[in-house]
This record gives sequence, C-alpha cells and structure tokens, in this order.
Amino acid sequence: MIEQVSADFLVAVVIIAMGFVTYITRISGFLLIRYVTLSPLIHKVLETIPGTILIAIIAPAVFSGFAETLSAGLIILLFRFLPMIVTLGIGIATVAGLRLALIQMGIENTW
Amino acid sequence: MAKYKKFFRLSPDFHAGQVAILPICLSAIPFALVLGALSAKKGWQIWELAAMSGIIFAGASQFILIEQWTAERSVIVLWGIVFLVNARHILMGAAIAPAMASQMNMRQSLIALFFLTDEVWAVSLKRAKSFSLSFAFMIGCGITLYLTWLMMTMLGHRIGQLISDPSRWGLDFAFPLIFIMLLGSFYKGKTDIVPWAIAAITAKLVYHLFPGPWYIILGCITGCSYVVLAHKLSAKFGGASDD
Repeated sequence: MIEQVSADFLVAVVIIAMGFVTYITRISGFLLIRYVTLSPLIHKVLETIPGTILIAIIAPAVFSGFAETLSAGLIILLFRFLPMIVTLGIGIATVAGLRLALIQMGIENTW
Repeated sequence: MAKYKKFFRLSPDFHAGQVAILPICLSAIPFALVLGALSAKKGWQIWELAAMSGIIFAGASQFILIEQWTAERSVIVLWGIVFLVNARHILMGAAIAPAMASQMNMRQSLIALFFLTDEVWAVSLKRAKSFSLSFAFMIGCGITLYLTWLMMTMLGHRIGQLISDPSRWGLDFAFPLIFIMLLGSFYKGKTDIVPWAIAAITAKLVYHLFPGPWYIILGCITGCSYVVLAHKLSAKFGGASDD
C-alpha cells in the first residue's frame, strides 16, 4: 500500500516535471526573443529533432521483419488519403496477416 | 444567444478562436482516443493519463512516453526526450511573440502560451494576419483543444480497458504506425529525407549493438549532425542559403 502511494507520488512528480519543462519550451522563445535572435541553423536543428527522435524510435520495429516493413510502407502510401483510424486498422491487419502468412509458409519473419 | 454570452462574458473573439480550432479538434479526436486506449493497454492508470494530457498537453511526446516508459528506461532520459521533442515550441514562441506582445500583457501571454501547440500556433498566426490576435481568441483556441484532448484521451482509456486483446499480433505495431502518421505532420519537405534516413539507419544499428535508449539518442544526434553539416557546407560553397 505504502509502496503504491510512493510509486504514484513519483510518477506524479515526473509528469509534473515533464509538464514544467514543456511549458518552459513554450514560453522561453517568447521571453528570450527580444534578447537573442535564433539563427537559421538553430531553427533547422530544433525543427529536425522531433522527426529524428520519432523515426529513431520506430526504426528497429519497422525493420525487424518483412511483415513490419511492408506494413509500414503501405501505411506511408495510404495515410494521407484515408482517415486515421482506417489506416491504423489497415496497418495492424496487414502486419498481423503477413506475420500469419509467413508462419504458414514456414518462412521466418526477419530480414 | 445574447443572454448566454452575457452570462459567460465571452467575447466574439473567444468564439472565433473556438471556430478556428474546431477542425483541428475533430482530427485530434481519433489520435486522442488511440492514445488513451494504448495507454490502458500498456498498463497506465487513468489518472496518470489525465495528468499527462492536462499537465504536459503535447501529443507527440505523450505517445512517446506511453510507449517508452518501462521499468528499464531512466526517467531522466524520458524527461530529456520530452524536452527535445517539444523544444520546437521555442521557435513557435519566438515567431508569435510580436503578434502577442502588441495585444496582451505579460500575464495574459504566459497563460495563453500554456496552450501553445503546433495547431494553436498556426491558427493564431493566421488570425494575426487579418485581425489583431487577442487573448480571448488564443484562449478560445487553446482551452477548446485542451478540453477536447483531455476528455478524449480519458475516453480512449476507458474504451481501451474494455477492449480485450486476444490477438496481440498487431498491438505492438500500433505504435510505429501512429508514429509514422505523426511523422507525416512533422514532414516539411525533401530536406527531411536524408536526416531522417540517417537517424533511422543509425537507430537500427545502435539498437542491435547497445541496450538501452542509446539508439534513440544517437539516431537523433546523427540526423541533426547531418543538418548542421549540410548547413555549414551550403553556407561555405553555395551562394543561396538553402533550397
């Protein structure tokens, strides 16, 4: 019981800390702009960071096997044209279906 | 209608903000529902999810958090990732500063900026082109999206608790698929292709070489290093700044 309460407390503290740093990112540009100018290079880097983090996170999973890579490729082609839920469903069905098919065919789902 | 406005004392600008952000709220709903549902599947409690949505209020970082936050991940690393993914807000705050500073006092600005997401920022900048950007407008945008996001992520969590997952075949791949769609909104053009490819290749390699979050950190660093290198080289050799 005590462990749960203190664990919950830690989670709350961490989330608050993350919220705090996010709020800092939201106000710091506004507050600092009169004192510093942000160079074009800083602009480019700050804009590139989130994309590289997202793609770094998914790269191992997307390239873990044939089924995953194919499903990801399909979703990249489709996602702009279909509603989000639909593309998600298609992607999940595709990866599940391909994994199953590969098992049936006795092929290992890896590169 | 007039009585309602008088009761709440909400100005027309507030409602204009709500109207402006409405399409974005609608397209955010499926993402919020999926975030909530996935968080439930990953073992998050609803109050933890509500705290994330209400205190952090940043979609991409929330998705990353619910996927990455496991016993093995250091919370310092996670905190750093949240900071980095949201660091682009610095640019957005700087860009919108002129439009805001002329219309709002500091206290109002600091309140309005709490709700600054990519969409609120874009809508507000657009508003500032034809009208003066008022505090009421930004709050109209911000609070509407905020409440939508908070409510819908929590609803998603409830739904996620109800869905049993007999086939756990696809669930693990739901995250990469969603991240691909998030990447779609981050994609600015062809100049992203090489940095992202470098990040992906580095991440895949490092993932197999070193345990822990290094694949994410190094993927980000190598991708950004390319951007820096390309910028420096084009400044040195090219005439035009970029294409």
